[in-house]
Amino acid sequence: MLITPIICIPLFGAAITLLFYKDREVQQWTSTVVIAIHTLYTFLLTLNVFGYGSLVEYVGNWDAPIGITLIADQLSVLMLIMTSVVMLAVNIYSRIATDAKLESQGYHSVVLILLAGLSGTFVTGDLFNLYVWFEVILMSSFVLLSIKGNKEQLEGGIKYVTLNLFASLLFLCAAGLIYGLLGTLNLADLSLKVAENISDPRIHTFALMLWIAFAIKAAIFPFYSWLPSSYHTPPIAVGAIFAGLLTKVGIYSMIRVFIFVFNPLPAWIYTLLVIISIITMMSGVLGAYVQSDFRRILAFSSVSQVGFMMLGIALQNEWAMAATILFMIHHGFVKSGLFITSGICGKSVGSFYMNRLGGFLDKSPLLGILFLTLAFSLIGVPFTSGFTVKIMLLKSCIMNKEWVAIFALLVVSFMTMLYMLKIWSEVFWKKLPLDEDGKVSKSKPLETGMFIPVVIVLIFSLMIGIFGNVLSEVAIDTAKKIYDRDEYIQKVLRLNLKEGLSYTGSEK
Amino acid sequence: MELLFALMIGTLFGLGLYMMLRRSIVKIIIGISLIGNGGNLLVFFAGNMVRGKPPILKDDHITNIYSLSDPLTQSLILTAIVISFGVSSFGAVLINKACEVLNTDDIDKLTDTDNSC
Repeated sequence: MLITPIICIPLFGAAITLLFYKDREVQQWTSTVVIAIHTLYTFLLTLNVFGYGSLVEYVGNWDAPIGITLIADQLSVLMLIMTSVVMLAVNIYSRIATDAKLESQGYHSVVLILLAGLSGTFVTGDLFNLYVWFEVILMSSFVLLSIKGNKEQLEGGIKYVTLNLFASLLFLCAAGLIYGLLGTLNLADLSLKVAENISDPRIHTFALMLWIAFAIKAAIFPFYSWLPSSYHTPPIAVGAIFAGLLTKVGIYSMIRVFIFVFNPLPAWIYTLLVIISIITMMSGVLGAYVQSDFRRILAFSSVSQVGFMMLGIALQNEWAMAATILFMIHHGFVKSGLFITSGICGKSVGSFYMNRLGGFLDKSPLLGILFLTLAFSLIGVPFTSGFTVKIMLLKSCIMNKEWVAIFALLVVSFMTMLYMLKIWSEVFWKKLPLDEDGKVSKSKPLETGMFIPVVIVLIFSLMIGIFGNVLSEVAIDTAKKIYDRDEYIQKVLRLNLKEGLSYTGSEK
Repeated sequence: MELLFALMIGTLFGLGLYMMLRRSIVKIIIGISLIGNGGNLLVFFAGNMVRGKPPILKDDHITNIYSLSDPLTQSLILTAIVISFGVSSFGAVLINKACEVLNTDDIDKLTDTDNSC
């Protein structure tokens, strides 16, 4: 089965939507159909990968260490499923909620290019190609962020653009230096060559440069300040894509490059990462608690959740890695669902501030239930996806005897409950407040169609909770394959199984 | 030659960082493109620079491939130059628009999206 269609389908769709850029109907239908085909193809790819092992494709028939290799292994397809389901949900939401002006400015084409960039990131097996996909994601997210061009968006856009451009420059420099030192960019080949020189301090420097580049993308302390000041500015459909998918790109690349290729680094680095992830968790949660804008609470909450994922990476065992992988998927579903919920509430009242919102439980009990289930999932109540991933993370912390991390994890989960309660009591329980003139403020009726995307992501999130047992085994298997690199390397470099790993790359 | 390149890259990075730390948003974009050029030179420098020996194998008696310059880094920076050109032009447009809408180019005044009111 080919891997390239996963990138080509959305690109082709983007071309079609550009051709019909004046016709809103055609654009909407094209993007829905294209994303649906992408989802279908992803599921087929997943069945294939879990049935017959990971797939490798050599672009332009160039052999492994020389040309660009695409590889779909278990980690890639899990991420791809998350991406396409979230994209589908957001697409359904944007059909109803996005205004015509935004769509005529090319919203659909840019979203499809973003989807192509995300798919490319998740299937590439080449460091420089990863950089190129990062840039595709960056460019399309820049455009999506500032597409409306109002005051707030341009301000948020400048902050986002500056820090992320710096991150990709750092990535480029690190990739160039690594090529200069080791003479290869293919991740499988690179991991073999890094393993030979793992004690070289230059390798550690390059690995940390890459880590910083990914940490800026993933919004990890001390690089997270761009996220809370930009994620609440774009239209909600865009915010849901960003919150659900973009931080995961940073974490995914960290797993793929920092853990898969550069492992094991000296122990102090991982200790430092545990400390950083605890600070990220704490600062995100404290930031979320003091906010009074629905979307800004969710944006800060993303920072604290990224801290959990980083903790899983820093702990260096298979359970923790499995927890991180599931956590990315769980958080993608839950956070995009919550963002869409905030959009439904905000659109009805016309403001996202807590003191203007209220009375949504009376207005629509269904919305209340959907929000509450998503909130429980984010907190980690049993039978939801958050419970599965947090219990795995706790188990790995206990295995590593990281008592401070366990304490932080429990405290942060508790505080997650506090800020979700704040939203619940302000937005849903409280009566709709009076406006300045003392009249009952007007609110538009809710459209039931807007609930469909929330229900979609909620079903997927609940499935992680209910089938937690099966999925955690899948995740542990995936994590084992990341730490035990043999299968990936053999697949990519077409090594004979009996020869073992004696192969040393291009110049033999 | 190596020393010259190293000094050049260092200067570009230093100037770029200096520009990025200034308060005007226009200077941030200038800083980013300077660092971008520094990064491109760094990648160019990383792949075995040899003068006057293009990597075209006309005959097979070249045994030491390290006597030739590496063509891959050059193709890498071609990609990187195109990307940084695109990104800088987008940045220029963004900043132009931002200056029009916000009526300021002072970073310290861009605090609207960070207030928690």
